[in-house]
Amino acid sequence: MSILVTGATGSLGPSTTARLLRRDSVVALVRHGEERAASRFEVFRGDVARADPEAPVDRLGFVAGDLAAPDAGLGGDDRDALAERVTRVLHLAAATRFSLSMEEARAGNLQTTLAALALAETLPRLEAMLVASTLYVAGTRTGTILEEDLVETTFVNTYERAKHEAEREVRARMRDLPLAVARVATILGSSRTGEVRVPTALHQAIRLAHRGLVPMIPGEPSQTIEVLDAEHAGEAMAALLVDAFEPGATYHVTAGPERCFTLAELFEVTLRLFAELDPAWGRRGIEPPALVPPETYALFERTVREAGDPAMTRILRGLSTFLPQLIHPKRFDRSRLVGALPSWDPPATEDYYPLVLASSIESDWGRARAEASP
Amino acid sequence: MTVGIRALAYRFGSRTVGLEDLAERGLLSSTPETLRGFGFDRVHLAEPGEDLGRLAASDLLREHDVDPLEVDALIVFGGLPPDPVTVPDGEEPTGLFRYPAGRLQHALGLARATAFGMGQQGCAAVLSALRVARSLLLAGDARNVLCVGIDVVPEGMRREVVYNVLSDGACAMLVSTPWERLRPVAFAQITKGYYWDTPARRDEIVAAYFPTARNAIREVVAAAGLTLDDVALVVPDNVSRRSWEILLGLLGIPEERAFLGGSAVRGHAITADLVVNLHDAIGARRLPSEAPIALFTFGFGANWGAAVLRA
Repeated sequence: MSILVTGATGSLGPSTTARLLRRDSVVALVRHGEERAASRFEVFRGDVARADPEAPVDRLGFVAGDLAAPDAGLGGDDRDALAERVTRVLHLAAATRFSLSMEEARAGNLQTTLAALALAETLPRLEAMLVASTLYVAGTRTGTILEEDLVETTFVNTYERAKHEAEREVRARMRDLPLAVARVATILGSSRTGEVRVPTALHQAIRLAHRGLVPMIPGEPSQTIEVLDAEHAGEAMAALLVDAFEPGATYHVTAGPERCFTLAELFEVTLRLFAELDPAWGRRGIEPPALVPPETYALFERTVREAGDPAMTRILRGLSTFLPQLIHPKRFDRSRLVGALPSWDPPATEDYYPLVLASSIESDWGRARAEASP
Repeated sequence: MTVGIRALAYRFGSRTVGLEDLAERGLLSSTPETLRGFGFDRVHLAEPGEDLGRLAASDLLREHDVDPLEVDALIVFGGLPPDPVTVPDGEEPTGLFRYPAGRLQHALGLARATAFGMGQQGCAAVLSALRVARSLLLAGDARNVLCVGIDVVPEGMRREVVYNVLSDGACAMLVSTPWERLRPVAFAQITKGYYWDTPARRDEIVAAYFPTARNAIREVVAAAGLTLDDVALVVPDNVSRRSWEILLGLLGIPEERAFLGGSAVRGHAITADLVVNLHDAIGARRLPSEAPIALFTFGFGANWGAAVLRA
């Protein structure tokens, strides 16, 4: 029997696949593209082996497909093979860039989820399907967010809205299919190597702070920045799909406020680490961004826009897809997650953040890695 | 020994030019509407040969009945570099040694005064001049120090710089002992040499401006043994009114406690701004006796300067 993974080459793919391989054989749905699916798969298999050197990668296979294509782009033989073998599906495929148009965000998140659900319906042996989502389907809500909540609200970016809409579709199918949802926190990086596989808007903000280009941040200093390391995110996903699957459940997969930095702590520690890790940076005397009330930030943003300052406009546009979330402080309840995975024990941000920053600075924020990759 | 600011005066260039005129002449990069939204209305340009520094200093001496021979030291400062001096090849370079401080000392008849210049701090030079004057007085080396700031933008140069529109202006400030009013009680200056190359670091300077400004003001207020709530009035420079609204938001100081009335309307006269606004705040009776007053200005280079005075 096998586990089918969509979006395996994305942020969570290698770490999660590695942990799934310890439990079962895995078939990755690898997109057709300019490169042949086979060569993309070889790169991915290497990524899995790097993510977990102990993972039995000989149990990893692939099918070429595309959730954006009719019938998931699968050939008849592949479709038959999946129907024969697959008992569990992990749907990771997503378009996570916050700056996408609504149409693009829906195509990459809602439509792909609908396609994955349609594919799942063709799998007669299906026992469990876990759909990856985001904590921020809660949009601009504030206060305590329960795992069962999926409340109509407004959103900070198109990604949040599209994921919210996708979750609605998943919930609507829960009567017919064995479905569960994992709302995953921002993946900060690997707690083992510090590598950031897919930089997020948070990484972008940190990179800009390193360049001394973030003047201010709107937000409540005590707001928790919910993040998770790739290894524990992968372990949680694998366990929720295989070991502790509960149809109809939704989980907040995050380390929780007691293990995460507050906004104020994040920037304080970040700048201290910049100075320690990068002596040239320390000599510049760059100040931490000011944490300001939303109206002050809005006035600054308006001023930059009116002045037509191209560089600062570009910087603020990038940040604006993410920073407004910080003025909507919330606490994510994780009772159901803790109940399902009582021994899951992710590290505190402070335990691996130095490694992540060191890796980011050393790789020039991923540029060196990107240039070195085939 | 008490040291205070005994007299203030200022002059703008005598030619008033509207934003539309500047735009037509290609001296702005933003539209007049945008700059009006930031609080600007017009700028003042010096006519050729108009000696704004001498005029401002003469006004001060005359209006406050100061005998030029009472002045022990003259500090001449500016945010802009002095006019470039060229000496033809092969000639003795004595032409390089023609200083505005000496010329002004002679023109004003300050025969007893030691004259010297200060600069390389952009607009923040005004607070450095005040600080040095105070130190001279406290050291017993002088009883009256005249500080004169002069900034004239070269003819034809663009008038807009990083969200601001520049006026030509000059200021004069007589710092004396014993003097009870407008006593400087604390200074803070944050110099960040990393930003010395203004064009190369422009975007980083824009990003650094607000958090560092906030730190400089917090620092000087703490050095004066006060809290931000104790500050009776913030006297701004005349960079855009909008930027002051943002900075006050960062500090949590309501706009009513800042002297924003004339801010930016007449353009940013570089080092003269603080003297202009301090002078006008006195005229507007916004400085109750002994009230703590916070002054702040930023100078490319890069320097964030702040002071607390006791009115």
